[in-house]
Amino acid sequence: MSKNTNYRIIIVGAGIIGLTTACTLLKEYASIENLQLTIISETFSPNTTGDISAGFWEPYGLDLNDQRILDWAHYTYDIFMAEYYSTKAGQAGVIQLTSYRLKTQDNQQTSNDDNFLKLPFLPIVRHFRVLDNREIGLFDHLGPVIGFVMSSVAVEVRQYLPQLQRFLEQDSRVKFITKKVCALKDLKDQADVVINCSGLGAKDLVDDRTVRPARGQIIRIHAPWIKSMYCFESKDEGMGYIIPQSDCVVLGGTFQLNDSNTIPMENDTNHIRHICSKILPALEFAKDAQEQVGFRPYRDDGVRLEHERTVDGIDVVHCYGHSGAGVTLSWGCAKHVSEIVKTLLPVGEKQPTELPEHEQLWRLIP
Amino acid sequence: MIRVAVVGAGVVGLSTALCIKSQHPSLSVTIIANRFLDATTSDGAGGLFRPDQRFIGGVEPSVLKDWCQTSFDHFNNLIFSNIAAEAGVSQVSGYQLFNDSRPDPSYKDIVYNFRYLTKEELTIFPDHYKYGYFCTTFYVETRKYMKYLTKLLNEKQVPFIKKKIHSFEELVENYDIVVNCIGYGAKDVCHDNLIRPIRGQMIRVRAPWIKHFYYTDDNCYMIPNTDTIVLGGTRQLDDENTTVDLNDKDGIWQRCLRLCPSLAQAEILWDWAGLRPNREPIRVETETIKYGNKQLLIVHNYGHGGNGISLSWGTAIDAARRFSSLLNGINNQDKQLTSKL
Repeated sequence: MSKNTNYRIIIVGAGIIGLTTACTLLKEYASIENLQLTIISETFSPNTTGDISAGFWEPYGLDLNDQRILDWAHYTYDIFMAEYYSTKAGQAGVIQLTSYRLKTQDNQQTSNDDNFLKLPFLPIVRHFRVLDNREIGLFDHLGPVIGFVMSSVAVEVRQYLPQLQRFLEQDSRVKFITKKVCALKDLKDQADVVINCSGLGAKDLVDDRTVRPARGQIIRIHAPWIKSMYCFESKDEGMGYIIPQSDCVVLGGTFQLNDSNTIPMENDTNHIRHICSKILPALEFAKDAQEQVGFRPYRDDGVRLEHERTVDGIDVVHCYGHSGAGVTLSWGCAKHVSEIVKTLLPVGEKQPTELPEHEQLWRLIP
Repeated sequence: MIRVAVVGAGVVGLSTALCIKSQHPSLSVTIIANRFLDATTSDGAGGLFRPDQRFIGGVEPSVLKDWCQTSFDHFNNLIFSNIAAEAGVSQVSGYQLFNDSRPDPSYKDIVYNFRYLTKEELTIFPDHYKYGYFCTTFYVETRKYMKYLTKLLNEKQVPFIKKKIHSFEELVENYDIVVNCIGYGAKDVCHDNLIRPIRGQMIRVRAPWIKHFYYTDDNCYMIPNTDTIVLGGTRQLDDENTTVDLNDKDGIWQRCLRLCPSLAQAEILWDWAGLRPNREPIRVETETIKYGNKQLLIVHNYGHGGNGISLSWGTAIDAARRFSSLLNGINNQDKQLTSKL
């Protein structure tokens, strides 16, 4: 095996996946002075896919029985929860949320209800509790429902990414380039490893026809009295969710596969307002509604996270196709990617440190 | 015609006036107070519902339970109504963290999701705590809630008079029944030695990424309201100082910062100090006072200490019930008199 004295890594994509990967690589390669980490992206915050989302942690829009997903989600959850209890929370937009998940009772197929109360990710979260009869009575106005409560986090990507960027920028080994990469082979002579965090862009970049946009419309609204997250899956009227942020509340949502319509649709707005006002009637009077549309990078076979040596002889580590769980899986995937990169670009043992894991990944830069 | 004066326009006075006027719409009810809205003691409250028997001395457990449940149900209905935002009421969950073992709080079966934290869950906090519990209750943003109550009273055409009462004798000429919600003022006006101030200071900050309440056992709490977070606090018995003390402020800030390091980025808005009107027991009862050949019927509802917001509705309903009995008594007397003619 040839000895590689060059450590040139290019990350394509500067969204939540790309930047968490960059921070993780800086951590793993802290001892490598001649590391060259270049992040090339067509867009940066606030124009990435994640910037539009409420950034709520929950494995969603993917196969929940995939153990990789659960492992990535678990690691990420622990990082965000630790960050909430650190000095980062305010500036990085990390918000702990008590979250109510409700579903219309299914009298015909009780197994559906059982599965709902035993979702595979529930062992990961804190404060999980099935709502008892008395507590479920709170939601009588939704008809007969079952539900549970848990603690999760919302990460405001529009605040989080700029903080990661500030951290990355102060390391002289990191470079940012605003540019659309049209083909990976264009990078052949510039990198030893290319990490493909192009999200929806992977469809064209690596000709992955299984990547499809899953359209999501949301409404950002002024409703600061709401302090918890609520999500309700109704029998006949679809799903609605209410996710507080630091400066607004996000009402959602839709999941429209193969729909690339960027214009907010009145039907969708009406559906969202209708179902969210059912959960919390006071929302009817909430003001300053701002509709937004985003596109989750859905992939038929789920997240693609693997090494590929392309026909052009480039070592690529793919990390895309996170659907509605980009924030949820970010740090966990970044860790997995860096494990793969370390097999391609070896690095010695890290210095032991007393710093908590999240502090090792990135720090607030004043 | 019976004329009623409600003395005191804090959250207890407004609630009691509303209960009574709602039950007796044609009755003349007037609110008389020296301070209104932002100038009341209620204005400083963080408004979190957690009335614990441990700190409410002298009240029969069944009576307290009734007050608590009635209040809880009232506010709970508001949360899921379409006027929740206007009334300033919302669900909020949070933590109580402590190191000594102690009995469960008496409100544990009234609030929701009450449960003890596991050892693993306790490790999440910056400081080490041996015990902790989590529950879901609600907060009442007093400024909004009092404006809301005032609006309802205006709609029922209840007049407000600004006047400082030194003795109920001032009212005997123009009123038949006095509903006494005067709070700490009862010390002078009613010569009540059982009422004692427990001074509390707090800091209001803006820290909108914080959506839970936190209490530890060393005078440290954080209560989210709609746009602000209340940081507290102090509990200084018999201290009548209502000006802000900088040492207290610093203590509160340091304690809360330990609990929640991200507060370092919070924007400080204002400080407040006030006197919890503490009495053992909370006084909800009737009394008749004679002034010469006249008499005044009194319904007392004061002395709620640090649970004014929490117990406002429950005690208001109780006081209104006693009021109705008094009213029935008067009407029956009149009937007896007329039937003798």
